[in-house]
Amino acid sequence: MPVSNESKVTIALSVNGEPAEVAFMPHKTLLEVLREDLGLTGTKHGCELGECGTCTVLLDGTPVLSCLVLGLACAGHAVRTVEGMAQGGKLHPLQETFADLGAAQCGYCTPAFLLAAEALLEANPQPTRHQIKDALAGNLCRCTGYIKIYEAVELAAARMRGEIAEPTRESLYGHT
Amino acid sequence: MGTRKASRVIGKALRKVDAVAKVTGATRFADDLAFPRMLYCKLLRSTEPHARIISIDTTAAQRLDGVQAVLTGRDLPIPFGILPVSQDEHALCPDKVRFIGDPVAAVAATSEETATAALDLIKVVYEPLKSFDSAEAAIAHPEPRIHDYGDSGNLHKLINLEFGDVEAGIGEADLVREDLFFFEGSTHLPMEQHAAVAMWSPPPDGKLTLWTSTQTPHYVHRALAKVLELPAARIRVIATPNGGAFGGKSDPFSHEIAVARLAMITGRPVKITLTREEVFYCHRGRHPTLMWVRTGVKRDGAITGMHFRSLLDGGAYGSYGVASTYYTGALQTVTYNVPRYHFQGARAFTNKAPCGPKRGHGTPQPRFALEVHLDKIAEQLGIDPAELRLKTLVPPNSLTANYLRVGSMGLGTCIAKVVEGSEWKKKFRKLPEGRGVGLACSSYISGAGLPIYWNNMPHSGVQLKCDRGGGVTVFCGSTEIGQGSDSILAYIVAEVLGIDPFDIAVVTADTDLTPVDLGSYSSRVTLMSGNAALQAAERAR
Repeated sequence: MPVSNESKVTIALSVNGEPAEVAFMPHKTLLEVLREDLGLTGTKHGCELGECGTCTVLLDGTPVLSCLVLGLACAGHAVRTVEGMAQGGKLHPLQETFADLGAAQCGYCTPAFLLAAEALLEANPQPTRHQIKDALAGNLCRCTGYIKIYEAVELAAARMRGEIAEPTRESLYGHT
Repeated sequence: MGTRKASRVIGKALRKVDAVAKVTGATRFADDLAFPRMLYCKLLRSTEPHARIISIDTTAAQRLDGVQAVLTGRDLPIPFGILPVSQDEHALCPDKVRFIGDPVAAVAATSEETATAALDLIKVVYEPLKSFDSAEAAIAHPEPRIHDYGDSGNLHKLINLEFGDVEAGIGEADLVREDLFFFEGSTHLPMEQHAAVAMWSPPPDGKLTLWTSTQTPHYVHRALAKVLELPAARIRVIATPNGGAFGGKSDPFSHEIAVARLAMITGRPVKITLTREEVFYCHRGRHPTLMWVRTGVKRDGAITGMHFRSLLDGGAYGSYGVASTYYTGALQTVTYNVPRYHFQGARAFTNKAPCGPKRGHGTPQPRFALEVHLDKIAEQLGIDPAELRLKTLVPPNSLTANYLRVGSMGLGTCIAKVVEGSEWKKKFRKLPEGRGVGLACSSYISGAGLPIYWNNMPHSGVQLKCDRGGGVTVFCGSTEIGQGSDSILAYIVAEVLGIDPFDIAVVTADTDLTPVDLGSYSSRVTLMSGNAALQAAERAR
């Protein structure tokens, strides 16, 4: 006796700027389709209840919780995951600053933070600390205490505006 | 010994060696692994807090299409536990459940959905027993016993240590103060749920490989060898990078043993990923602790004697609990001078998810009590609480009443800087209604001087491979949980050999490839594996 009489559905969508076709059981979430059917395991899961933000991806440029979006609903839409951030073998400025400032520790929440931050900077190239906190409020991190993440977003934002910006001594070494 | 050269690597703010993998999503956590023909495991968990298992019927589950194997307690009868003194867990409960969430059966099926559906078809008949939801309740009712071992009734462990004549000391005091505190308990909540994948290579190989999100691959290795009755040499444990741990991934767990056995039975790779709810059942979080403290002080704040009692709500199993209980008494003496000290600790079994080590294992609870207690004493004596602490500091190069050696002592400088930087004197008791500043200090031991199972072997080891092309690979059993343990190996070796840390490859946490490291706990890794790396690099140079 099979558990379900469902059969797979096939949809076409854009994944990280490339056209993709994928077949999956219609009850699956975008999170599951990305990880299990497209092999893009860079997107993580923390609660699968929409509480922690760990599964954040961009859907048509807007951050969504992929654990709460049905894969079927993404037909014809554009999905962006962490795997699409580095281009031509070069890290995205946010990836550079997250790496250099220690904004990624265990790294599990990192892909989600990067994408949420990327969407913020797309909409607002010069966000205040308060606006950064607001944009990342739906993402939980248990390692960093968030300060390094805010600093990394600020540094990347400056560089993306074309400014020559280096980390402050304090953000690398603390108060000395 | 020559003069020390200025360091090129150590002390510099460098990127971590795994930073790029982490920001590109390339790091492979346990649940990111998939293998051809892989099966999915789900655990059936107890719905009763305390009950005898009368029967388990798995027939219908076994008949479900896609189900490849079903295990119950009788398939894994050998007990295990992290401490040699509390081998009180079973991968699947054989005859009794002790908390809601205790695993009773395991299913391996071709999909997670099928495995979940199979759980609903397993019929368990329970005979409920009286259950205890607090340490006080467990003390009040020695029967029915949650375990058939322990110091008495439902008390797992009792400790009584007196250093000097505390009552005489308190007798010399100008003020004696007594307080009662309760710490509610808390859980680690790593963002990554526990996950594990097992693979079996059948005889004549007869080899098991387990990838798992653990802080302690060496201890998991030992537990698997014991429960599965396999030679340790036939088991390979690979700790995948942990997506946060904080102490919650430092026990060997039921789910790791279950997938290992299921892989052996089915001959196929088997994966389990816990749900967030199940992570709360694994728990091993910070013990809820009731604390009573009585301290004698002179008019100037000097402590004459302290009597401290702690009662820990241990939950359903031993876990690290014996160590946790000692820890709730060990470190009261290392910040402020306590010349005579009496500690009494007790840990009760209760019918809740088992508690264990969490960030500062066993010390945040008593530290909270002690610091508030000292504030109350300062208040009564009319002394500024920062002043009181400065006056009672343990001197450098001294031995505490309970025989802990204090080397350097920077706490006084630290308090002075905090007082200055926070404008303490302008703010303390001078801020508007509803606002205030407070000051508390804490301390912890780095290094964990004893292995979990006492032995004289090294706590950590490092091997170096120096390549003809100039590359160096570091092999060490230490486990990266986000704290940077892979990076410190590269940094230290690079410093000694005079090479770029990013020219070094790091291979860690693989019991087949790397020398033993006891695990990422007790702030021990940089001390132990760091010294091993230093020694190895100095010999190689």
